[in-house]
Amino acid sequence: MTTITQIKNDPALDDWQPLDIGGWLRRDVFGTVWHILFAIILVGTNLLVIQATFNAAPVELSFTLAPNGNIGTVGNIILALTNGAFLTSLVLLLWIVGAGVVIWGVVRHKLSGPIQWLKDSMYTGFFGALTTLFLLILIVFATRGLLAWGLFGANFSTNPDAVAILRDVTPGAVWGIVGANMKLFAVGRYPYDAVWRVWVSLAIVIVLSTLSLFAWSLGSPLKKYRPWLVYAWLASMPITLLLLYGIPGTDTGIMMTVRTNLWGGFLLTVVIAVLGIVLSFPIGLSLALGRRSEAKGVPMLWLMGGGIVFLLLYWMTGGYPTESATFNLPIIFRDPPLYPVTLTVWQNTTLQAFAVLGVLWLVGYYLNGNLIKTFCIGYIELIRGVPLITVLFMANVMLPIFLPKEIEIDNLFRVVVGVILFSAAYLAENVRGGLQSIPKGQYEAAMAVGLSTSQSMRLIILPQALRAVIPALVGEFIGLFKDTSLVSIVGLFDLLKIAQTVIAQPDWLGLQRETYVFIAFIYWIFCFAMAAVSIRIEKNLGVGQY
Amino acid sequence: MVKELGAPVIVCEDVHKWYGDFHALRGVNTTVREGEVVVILGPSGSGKSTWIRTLNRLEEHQRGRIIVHGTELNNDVRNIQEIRREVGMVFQQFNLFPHLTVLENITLAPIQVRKWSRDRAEEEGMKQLTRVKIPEQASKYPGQLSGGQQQRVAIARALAMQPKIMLFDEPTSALDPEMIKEVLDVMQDLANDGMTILAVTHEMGFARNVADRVIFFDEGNIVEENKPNTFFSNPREERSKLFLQQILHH
Repeated sequence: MTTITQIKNDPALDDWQPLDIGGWLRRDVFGTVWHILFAIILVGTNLLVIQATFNAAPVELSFTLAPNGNIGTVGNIILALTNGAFLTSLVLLLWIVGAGVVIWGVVRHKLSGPIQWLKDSMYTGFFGALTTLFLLILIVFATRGLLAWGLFGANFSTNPDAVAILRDVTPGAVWGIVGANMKLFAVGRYPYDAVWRVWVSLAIVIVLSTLSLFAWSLGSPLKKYRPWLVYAWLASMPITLLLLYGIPGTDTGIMMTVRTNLWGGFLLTVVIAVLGIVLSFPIGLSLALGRRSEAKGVPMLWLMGGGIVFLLLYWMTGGYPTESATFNLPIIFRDPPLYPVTLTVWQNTTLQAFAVLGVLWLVGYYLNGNLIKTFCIGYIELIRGVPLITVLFMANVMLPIFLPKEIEIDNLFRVVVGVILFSAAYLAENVRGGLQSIPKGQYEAAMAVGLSTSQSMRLIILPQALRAVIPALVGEFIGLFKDTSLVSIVGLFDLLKIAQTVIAQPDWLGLQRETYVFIAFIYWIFCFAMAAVSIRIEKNLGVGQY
Repeated sequence: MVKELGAPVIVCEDVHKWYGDFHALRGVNTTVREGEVVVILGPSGSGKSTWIRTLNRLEEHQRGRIIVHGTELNNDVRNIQEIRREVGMVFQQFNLFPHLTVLENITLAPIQVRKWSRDRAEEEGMKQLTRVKIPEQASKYPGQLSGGQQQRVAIARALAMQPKIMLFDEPTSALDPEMIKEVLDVMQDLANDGMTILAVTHEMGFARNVADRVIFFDEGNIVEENKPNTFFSNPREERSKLFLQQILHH
């Protein structure tokens, strides 16, 4: 009989090779490094090509200009390297090498027959090449102006006095506003003495991210540490928050409290987005499960029993009508508009009983006994019907009204709660879509082998459902990251709000374009990174493969 | 060959089921003994699948009593769980878990429900995979297997829980003809090993050769119960004759 160890040692079963370390190194480590190098080379050479194009109307290379207007050493070298003759030969060389590589590749892979080769290169290669060329020209023309403004014609000095002199002769952007205010963009008014704590937090996150990226790639030798990484992530949240906030109540020393009204810029944006994403996910999941729950909530018998107990308690604690009562009923189109009705004790008692039990009966009848489901539907549809900005206003303005005066809740905390509650409703709908895509047979098979409801949810349904909706979930997270820019309306200094205050500085007036382009770039980088990670996760989980 | 049958393991008394207004089961009465192989026949919509699915509570019956292995099926979740542990089921559409490997599909329930160790569950899983003759597929995913292989994995998954009774709900109806035989062979081996089997199937050969009893369903109730030879050669009821004429026509 074949035993399990024999199966595991069978060399024919390549799936059983436990960890493909070589493949992992090739695919993920070298692959990543090679991609980055390749991208740098590609971007660099293209910049040179574009610079050559741009040389038709030469612009002084201003990024190494000293305040006195002379060109520095680096500037001289770059000028020498980017003169027409050198560039032309470089571009020609690149084209020749490129064409050589393409021809070599074609010959190597398509040598099965001259007609086949012709067919392939004519039907796909030729028109493909034409399209590529066309798109390249389009891209060059589209980015030409941007690069001319943002790079080749730009001034990078961060000294306000120098910029004041040089601004009139600078044809492009004045990036000094970004460089000089980098600290504001990064952490807002966070005190200088404590900025190292932000750096430490950042280091924790970067180390964990890198480890996770490698641990969750195919064939990774770090696979067995995945649970530990999850714990590390969970632990990193409170640690990071403690680092950022400091020890409550201490005003001096290295761990002094930094109140959240001093947090700002990119730091604040990331804090809101990360807390929003991490904490809204479990809530959204519960809402989705609740909306699909078929649990019989509160049976009519319980409702009625509860109503009777309530009535008896109410009457016993002094609510029983001991004498006849007079009610003034408002009557329309009468003068005087009130019509007095006197109820005897019995009439009043009956009325109270009918009112309480009747309302409960209506509730029980229309809710079909499933209160969980009704609550989830109500919550989701309420939140989805309201813009985020309204939720933020509610969190900021209305919440304090409902709470006692002595309790003062941190502004950032209120906003984060608002963001979490908002995003949970949307996540719930995404997850519900995934749950609905699981065929009924999966539930039946899970039940038939004896799994309990929670086991079959946890082990069978949710892994498949969540895997199916990864693209939608990541889309939701990206949306949430960008929506954090709305918190500036309720008085938090996030990246966008910081940008607005930076623009208003007297030293740097009139530089909106530079500032907004910069923060748009920051937002784009992070959203793009999220999308890239999602694609990687999908690939590693084999989404859409079976 | 005369088989020794044991004590009753499934007892149905006056089982009724409604889907809304539709009366799907109309007072089913029967008893299945230990080690018995029962084939359930009947035209589509006759309630045979519904009945077999009430036996492990995939469908709820609204009236009557069902006693499986000494435990009555009622609204008590513990009873339902206990019965599902002892009753294996194989579906028409296999219903394997696509995100788990074949071996993980098989070991999941023993580990989670029977609380076995992983090693013991894998040992048992490989034993069952060998029994259905595909041990070499253990590390593949269900999507990489043929229909017949998938159905055999589904049988191994049910067997790994060491059930006392196996229910087959049209196990070969979704298969290509050349794959039907491999599944029927596995079912026949099971029957030879003395397993109690209830199978809804259209495979008359299996019914004739393997079954101890044929139950013929029509319009939500049992029309005829008989030995297979008698049923196919000399059916008692008019409705059975008509059915046999229709399916044996070509």
